[in-house]
Amino acid sequence: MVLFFVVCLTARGDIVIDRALVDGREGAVPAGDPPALRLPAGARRLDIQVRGDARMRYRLDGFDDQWRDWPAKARVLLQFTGRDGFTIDSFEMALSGTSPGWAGSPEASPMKDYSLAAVAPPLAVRAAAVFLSHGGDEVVGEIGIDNVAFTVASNNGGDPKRVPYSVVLGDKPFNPLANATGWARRGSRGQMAELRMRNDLVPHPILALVDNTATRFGNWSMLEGIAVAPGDRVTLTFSASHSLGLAGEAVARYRDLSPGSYWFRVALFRPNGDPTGIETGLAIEVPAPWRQRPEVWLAGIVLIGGAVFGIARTVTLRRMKRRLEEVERAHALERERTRIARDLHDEIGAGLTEIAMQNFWVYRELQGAAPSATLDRVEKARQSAVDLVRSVDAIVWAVNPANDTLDRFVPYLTHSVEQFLEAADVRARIDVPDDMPSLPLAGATRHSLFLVIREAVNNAVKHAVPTAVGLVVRLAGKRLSITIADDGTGFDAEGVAATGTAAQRSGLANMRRRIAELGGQLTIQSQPGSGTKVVIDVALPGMS
Amino acid sequence: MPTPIRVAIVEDDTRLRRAFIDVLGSEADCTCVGAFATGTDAVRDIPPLAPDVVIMDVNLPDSTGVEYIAALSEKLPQSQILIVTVYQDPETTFQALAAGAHGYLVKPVMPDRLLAAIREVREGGVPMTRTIARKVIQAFRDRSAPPPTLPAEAPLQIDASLAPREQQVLELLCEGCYYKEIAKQLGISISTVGTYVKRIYEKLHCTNRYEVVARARGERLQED
Repeated sequence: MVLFFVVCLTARGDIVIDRALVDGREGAVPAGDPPALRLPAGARRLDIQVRGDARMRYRLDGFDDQWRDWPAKARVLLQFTGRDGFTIDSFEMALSGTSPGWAGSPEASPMKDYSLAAVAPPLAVRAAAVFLSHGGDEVVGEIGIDNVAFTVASNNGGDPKRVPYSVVLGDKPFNPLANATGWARRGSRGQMAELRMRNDLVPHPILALVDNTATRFGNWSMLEGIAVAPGDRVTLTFSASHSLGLAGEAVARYRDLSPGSYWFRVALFRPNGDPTGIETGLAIEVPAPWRQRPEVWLAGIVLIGGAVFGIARTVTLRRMKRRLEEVERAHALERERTRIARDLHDEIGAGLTEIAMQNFWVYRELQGAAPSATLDRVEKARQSAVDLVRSVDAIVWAVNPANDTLDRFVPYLTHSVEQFLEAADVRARIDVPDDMPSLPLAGATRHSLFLVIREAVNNAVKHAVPTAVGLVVRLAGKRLSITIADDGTGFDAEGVAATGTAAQRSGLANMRRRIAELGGQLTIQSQPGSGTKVVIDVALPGMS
Repeated sequence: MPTPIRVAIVEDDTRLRRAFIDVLGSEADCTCVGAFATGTDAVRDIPPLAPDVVIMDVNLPDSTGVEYIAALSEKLPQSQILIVTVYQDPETTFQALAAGAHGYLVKPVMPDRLLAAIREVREGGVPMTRTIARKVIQAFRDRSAPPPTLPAEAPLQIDASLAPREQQVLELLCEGCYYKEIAKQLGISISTVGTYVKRIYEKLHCTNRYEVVARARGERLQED
């Protein structure tokens, strides 16, 4: 019976100091009563990890002169929605910590004025505000919101219009504070959104958020908002009182404490900041630097030993350092190259995608209303943009030093060919060994091989009209052999080389040149009516 | 009119994000329920919206992509995730699929391709290439290494959690067959093939999600 009572009393809240880290390493806490931590001489950083299941505040007696909250934020959103009700864009600001003069509840505390301004984006027809009790999962606290209003300055000039969005009590006769017309409670625990009466000169209801659970949040959302037009400058103004803190896990950090005795305390508080009395602590001793004599002896011995061996060591060290610097420089160049490729890729890729998409829409809008020659041009423009994006992606992949081996290249090649053939609705016959060794393959080599193979597959699909295209990859020692074969119409390889169009001849010549530059060979076997075979043979070098 | 498919978007490039919103707004059978620019925002704000499909760019500035896919996939078991990726090696694409995605789109994504993929993924997962299918089958095999008492020549059993039909579909995908051919060979409809593929993805997520995330984190730590 007695045990049952004890368990109930202590189960009301739990605050625990998990560990203390001194200069990043776990500090030993002797099991004294109270427990005390003695910092070693010269220790600079002290991090104390605590865990509590309600709002936590901490202080270091001897250093802090009041309780401190961990940084906690609530969020205010200004959302713009389109015709169909989906959110186009959202702007936010944060309410942090405790507002000045906080008096223990949102309705009784002085309020501070805030404003959040944004320009309505294209397609926006309404603007609405959302007040959220969390800026992260572990926030607990109380917030009061009053005097919500919008100011809309139209793009066409004219005076800005002020639209108050007040809180009007709901229509439940026995519980007028149950809901508010025009506002909805949301969040993972909607009951956290409440209405409170503020006893001002004119008593009136205000929105409140009472978040007492670390893992859940509540919000007040406007149901309708106000009508806006794209380009309007919309300013949301409101006043708020708040007291926010963290529950869960947190770290108290102290740096370069002066020598002395301290007492670290961490305690649980109610969401509105009132104390609960549940607290725990840790004594901390920072010693004075008075142990100098033993170090002088040690220094003397080290100096004599050092003088004897010092000269020989510096010479070797300097040589090693120079070698390391060379390697580091090579790596830095590679990283720089990858970074430039990435930046180019992001910008160019996004811009080209925009071009491709716009052309897509133009094509759709012109269908039925424009001659087919025009439609062809638009489609060619779109395809060019799409091809360019693919090329840029391939270049970025090729210069990435992480991909510089055969066992990375072959799957990438196979996968790309498969995707290309699938998009073109041509059967792929892949004959590639599953386990390629990790032989080094320079960026230029990867890129040239990829371009030539892509050109060969592209030619097959565009000109030969095949039912299937095959890709065969073989490795014999250090000789890599890649074959692209199709069952399409075939062409007169000799004839084209002699008398084909300029584009055809230069295409083939380019392919041959690229492979020759790698020290390899490109052969084309084809006859009209019996398909085409493109064979690439290249010897892989040693370390590139 | 049947309820439109609810879609959420995660894309950091503002132009592209607006373009996706435009595309979704232009069709009656899809509706955009939210658009986010970072993985953190997505994981926090998408679950309450309960979308049917999530379109997620795997190259977001604040993430490894894989961790956020795994987190979203866990919180939204009824939704399908489509990742948007660049032309890159199948290993990275496979990791995203194993972490929780049901299909992938390659940049640049054209409006018709985006809409087709959203509709397809509700039916049965976007088709895998042969290379990806092989990785999927290998992942299932790795989970059920044969016990040491079996003789060495015993064939590797795919994880018993894959139904026989699903095993068949996966094997045909490994050979490079398209849905049409698989449907013909097994005597079922194309949409049934899609349903099997969807189930294969879901089993892959259950068995492999955490390994993929752990491996991605481990690799990331090594790079630092």
